[in-house]
Amino acid sequence: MTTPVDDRRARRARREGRQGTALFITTVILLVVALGSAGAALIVRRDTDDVHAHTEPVRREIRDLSAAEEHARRRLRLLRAGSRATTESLAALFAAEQAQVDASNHAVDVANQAVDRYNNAQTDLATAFQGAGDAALADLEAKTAAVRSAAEAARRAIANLQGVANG
Amino acid sequence: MAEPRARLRRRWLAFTGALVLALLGMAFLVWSIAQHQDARDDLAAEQAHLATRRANTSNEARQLQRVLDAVTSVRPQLTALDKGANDLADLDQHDLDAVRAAIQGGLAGKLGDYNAAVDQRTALDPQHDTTLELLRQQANAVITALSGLG
Repeated sequence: MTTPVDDRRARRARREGRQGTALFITTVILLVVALGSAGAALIVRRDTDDVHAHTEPVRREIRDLSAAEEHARRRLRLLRAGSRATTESLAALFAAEQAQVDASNHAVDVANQAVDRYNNAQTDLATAFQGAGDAALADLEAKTAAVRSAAEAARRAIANLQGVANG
Repeated sequence: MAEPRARLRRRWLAFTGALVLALLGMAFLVWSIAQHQDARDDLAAEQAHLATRRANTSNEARQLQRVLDAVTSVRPQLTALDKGANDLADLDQHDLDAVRAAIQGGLAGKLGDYNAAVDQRTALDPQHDTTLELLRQQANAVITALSGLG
């Protein structure tokens, strides 16, 4: 015959036993979850390392392409500048040449007029030429020097363009 | 009675430890997945960047080749212009010398010297005209080829 106290103790002991079993099972499950999570995380991290390993060659290729692109852009810029300079220098050369031809023709006209005066016996040759050609000759000298400068500038521009084109 | 209670307490402790470990493990997993996602996003972004770079590089290379082709196509003219410009300046110098000699001959009252200088200048004309015309043709070819290159 059991007393009510013994009965209560027995019920409590059974309840604590069930609670202990539940705690044990839950603990095991939690440990499995912890280990599973850690294992899965390690697998994910290894996969992440693989992704990083794939990313690095892509970055290297981007760096190489960027360097090549920059080089091409710089060379293109130089070539375009060289082309512009060459075109402009050639235009300047022909403008200077036209001015030289005009100045030369003008100087010859001035001389011819002096000779005409001499031929018409208006004066002797030296007197006919006095003061006739100084300004025209000075102008022709300046224009001839301008052609020389323009020719040098054109040659420099051409040499520069060819140098850039040759790399 | 004390033994089961102590066991229950130990199980609670073990449960708490396992719970903490499980939470840490899950946090580690979530953090690793986030990092993995970041790495994948990074890779996708770099690949997109690479594709853009390739397109740009290809475009730059095409433009560069076009300009190089244009310059190469007029290389003979450029070489000729290099020498021709100098020749033209020399001929102009001779022209100046002849005109100066003519004027000085006139100022000296020496008609013979004047006529000789004028003849000398006249003799230069065909060579001057030929050189200038050739130079003009070469320059036009160069200007045409190089114009529109940007």
